[in-house]
Amino acid sequence: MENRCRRSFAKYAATFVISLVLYGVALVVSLRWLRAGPPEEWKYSIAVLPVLPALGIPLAVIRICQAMDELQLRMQLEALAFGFAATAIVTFTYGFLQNAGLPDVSWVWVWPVMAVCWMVGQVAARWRYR
Amino acid sequence: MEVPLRNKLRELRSERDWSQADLAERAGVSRQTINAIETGKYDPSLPLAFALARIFKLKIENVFDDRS
Repeated sequence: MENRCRRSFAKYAATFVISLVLYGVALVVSLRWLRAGPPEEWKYSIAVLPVLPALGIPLAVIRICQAMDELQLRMQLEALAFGFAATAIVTFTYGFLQNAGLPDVSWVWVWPVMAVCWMVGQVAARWRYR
Repeated sequence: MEVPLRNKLRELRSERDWSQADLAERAGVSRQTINAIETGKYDPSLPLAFALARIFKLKIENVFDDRS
């Protein structure tokens, strides 16, 4: 399993990195294309162009989850549960602060907040079962 | 109420001079999982408990005990 896990992780990491690089390229292309003033009917398709290569990321995550053993899955569940709940607290708190005058923030920031909360949850789970 | 399992994994492993990684490889799980079971931080599922007992060629009740 140790070896199988490492192989699965390498495969996952490769898919993840390739998806991320393609996402970066698509994002640059999309932004430049939008600035160049494309035809109106193409605008929305061009704006969501970076999403296509990013689809490889959830596929890679599912693949690594399938290679995990029962304790690793439990740790992921605890980390994701923490990330899910903590993101709700952070986003709702900021939403309430917006009522008091804080500036609007793009929806794009919701996922990075969730990723950070998920990572904190992972560290806590690793500590718990160390 | 959840009763934590006691187990003889560390003892049985030491008798055979196996590392946690050796047992993990045989059981098809990570080394961290073996460590968490040995230290009582994680109770394995029934299929994994049976698999571990089978590796030591013992009955499950000779490896795991739910009496505190």
